[in-house]
Amino acid sequence: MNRMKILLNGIIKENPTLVLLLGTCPTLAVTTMARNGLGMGLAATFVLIGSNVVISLLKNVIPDKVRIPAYVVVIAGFVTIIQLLVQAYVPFLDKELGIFLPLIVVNCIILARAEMFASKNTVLDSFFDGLGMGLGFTMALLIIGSIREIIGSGTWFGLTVLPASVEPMKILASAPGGFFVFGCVIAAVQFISRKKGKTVKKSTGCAACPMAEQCGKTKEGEC
Amino acid sequence: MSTMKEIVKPTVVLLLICLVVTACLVGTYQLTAPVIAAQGEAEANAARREVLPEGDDFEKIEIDQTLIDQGIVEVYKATNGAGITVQAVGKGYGGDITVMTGLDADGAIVAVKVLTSSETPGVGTKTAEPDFLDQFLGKTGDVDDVQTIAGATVSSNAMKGILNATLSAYDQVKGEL
Repeated sequence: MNRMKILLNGIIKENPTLVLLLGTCPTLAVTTMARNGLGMGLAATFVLIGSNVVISLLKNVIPDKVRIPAYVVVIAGFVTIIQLLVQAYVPFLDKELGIFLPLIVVNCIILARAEMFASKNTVLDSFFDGLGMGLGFTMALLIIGSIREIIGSGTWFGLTVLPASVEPMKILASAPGGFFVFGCVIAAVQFISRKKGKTVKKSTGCAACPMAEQCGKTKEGEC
Repeated sequence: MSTMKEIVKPTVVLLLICLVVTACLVGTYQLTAPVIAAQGEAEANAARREVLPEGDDFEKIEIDQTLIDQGIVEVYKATNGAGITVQAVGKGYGGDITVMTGLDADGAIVAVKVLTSSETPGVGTKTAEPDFLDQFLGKTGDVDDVQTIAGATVSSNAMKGILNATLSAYDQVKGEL
């Protein structure tokens, strides 16, 4: 697999949020505004690249039995370091993200990439995978955040875009609206990728799982 | 030998990883802690000057328990007699809201600034925006006639409560100006 393909894989074909459906909780929580979505996405990208590279470096050292705790320690370490650095040097970003910055620890995209990609591939490939997945996550958050902010609050990145005569649909800025927009965006992505023939229609079961290709256990039926 | 491989090795490796990560965290913390603390202090001073632009330097005024119970955190007076700044906290919709208010020597509100809040983004956070805060300017005594924001009643009322406590704090400390 060449590096460009790995990069694009995360952004489009296996977009962590819209195709793999990972990291749904922060996706729904921070996307009330486009700016928060972008900040969250970039912070997660940073952690993803860091943890992917370190875990790839350590893949031969970490015994199989304790790999999950080892990954979690590495990821939590990265998140805390980034949180401290953000607090010290970019305080405005810390204010924007609030609690969601430390919560990157429990973002399952990061653990999933460590387990599925970084632990099996070279350092450079893992770097590009982290970058691609992170950008895919950022892009998804930006799209959902933009839709929710424009329709829900009538603004985009804090700038008023809807005329005052249009009453914003408040519900899109609250939690249920997050589900509505998330669902619609996933449906749109599925529709487009099927039109282009990128996704083969599969029946239910393991083969239909978006992770089937990477899981490698599809034939055994135990994912 | 299998005990060695199956129990001791994983434990040691995990321990080593934890130690290295901990060391990295200690290093980062040592490096950033003074910066973060200085930033908090500078921010508090800048916030004081922001709500009371005429104040040059600030001096803390001791407050009694009744004010603390009302949510007043700290009261500073400008050394040049321009007025006081009051930091007060109140319960909002999503958690505590901390507000810094500047009052001139006659007890009229000069400026209001929300320092921290965890209100609902896009709804309750509107209570931290100028459209809402400007209504408080120039008020003395109480702020009961300020319009709440539709859809953000709890956050708006929390802000009004905080500012009423702030104004009553002025009444208590005005003798010291």
